[in-house]
Amino acid sequence: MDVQLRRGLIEICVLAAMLRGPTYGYKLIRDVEPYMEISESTLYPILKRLESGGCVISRSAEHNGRLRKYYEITQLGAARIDEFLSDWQDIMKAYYYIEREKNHV
Amino acid sequence: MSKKDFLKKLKGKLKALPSFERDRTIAYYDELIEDRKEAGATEEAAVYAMGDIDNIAAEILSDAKERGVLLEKSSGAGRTVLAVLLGIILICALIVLGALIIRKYACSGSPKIEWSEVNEEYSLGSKERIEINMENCDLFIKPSKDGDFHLTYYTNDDLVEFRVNETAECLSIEQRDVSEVYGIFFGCVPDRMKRTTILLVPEGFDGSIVSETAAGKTDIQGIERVSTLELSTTTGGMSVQDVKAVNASFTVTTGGLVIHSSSFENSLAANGTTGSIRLYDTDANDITAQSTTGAIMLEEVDAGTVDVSLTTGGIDIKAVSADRLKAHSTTGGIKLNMVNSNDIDISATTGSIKGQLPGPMSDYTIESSTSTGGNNLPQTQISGSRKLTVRTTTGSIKITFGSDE
Repeated sequence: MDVQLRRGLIEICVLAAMLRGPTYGYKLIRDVEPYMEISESTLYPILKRLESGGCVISRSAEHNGRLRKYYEITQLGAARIDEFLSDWQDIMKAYYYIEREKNHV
Repeated sequence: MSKKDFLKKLKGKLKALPSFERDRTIAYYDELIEDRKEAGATEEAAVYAMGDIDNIAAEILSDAKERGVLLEKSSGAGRTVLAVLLGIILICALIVLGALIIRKYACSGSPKIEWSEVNEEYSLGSKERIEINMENCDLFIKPSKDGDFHLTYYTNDDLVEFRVNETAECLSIEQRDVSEVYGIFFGCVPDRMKRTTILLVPEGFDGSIVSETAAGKTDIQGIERVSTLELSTTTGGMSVQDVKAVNASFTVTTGGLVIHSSSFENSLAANGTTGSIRLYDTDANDITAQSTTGAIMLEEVDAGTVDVSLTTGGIDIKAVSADRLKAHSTTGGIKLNMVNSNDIDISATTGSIKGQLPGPMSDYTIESSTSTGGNNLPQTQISGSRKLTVRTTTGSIKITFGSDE
């Protein structure tokens, strides 16, 4: 898969994994893993980017005597997901067209 | 490989990153290794799962390079980006919603950003000014005129954490002149996103904390003991909870001020211009609370002396115990309930004064006056050892006695 496309997809998956509430790095990986290949080192720059882009906010909270960073999706982040879903409706239309034509021939 | 070795090696490979960002990366990997361990992995396996250190470092550095934050001299282009970003922050500052949170730092084994590490070349206190270029942030730490530390930073980061060095006597945070661009305690909130600054105060920190915030909420909790707390915020309000200090002064221009479950060995000053002030479950030797408009409420307060003054708005004093209690309101009414004091001095100009005091009326030596309102108290009564003075110009006075001590 194209690197940019992959990165974009992971970003949206990571955002989607925050829709149920604030979450943390390890859990994000566990949640996204079944759908997209993701590792600690791929997640880190993505979180940074999402955070500096205002899609995510983070705060540190104590967990078992250490600090854990929790990430929360912002309205901007939620809007990114909506945008993605509506973009992909168009892409899927094209996909089905391509598939149909391919099977026809 | 042990976690310690892994993190040390990784840190070594990230020298080109600004120290703040480097520490953040290390904290991230530290957290994820710990989380894997918590899920049942051995340390060895957890570290192994992170992948190859060289790959990790390369990825982080290339990402940092893309964002132009490597420690090489920043290019003209980089500076332009910075200027644009700071410009954006400035615009955002006009529609702000920010927060300052000060709380106790009570964790062990967590990533640490010690001030002395921020830039090892400088030792705090000896240099006038330290500049660190973080990602789109400038952080200056310099001793103030009196030798204490001032921390001023500009940031568009959502979350910045500062830890107070245990030996620092005073931490002062202030915003810079607007023309110099700043983001301190400010949020960039086109989508109502909050920016938060967390100041983690280590256990045993015994110095002073001074902060001034132009806009945004200030939220302080869980401070075990500081000698001086001086906090002010212009808009957004302030909340103080579970704080122990020797002397404290809180100033809020608009927005409310709430202080609760706190204890001040010496003095507590709560000042507001508009917005209400509420104190509950709090003790101090000297309490002064004053505001121009808005209400002032005191509940379950223990103090040597209490002095409350307000121009417009009501004063409500409930379950307060003080050697001396003084309350004045110009236009609002004053209500007393379960006030236990040997010297009560209540005055209003146009408002009414009412309430119930403990003990029989004969416990009190009373002086009361009103020119136009009703008054159920004797104008003078020389009787018990407790002193009660109640005066209002045009309001009425209604005080009953006999509730439980």
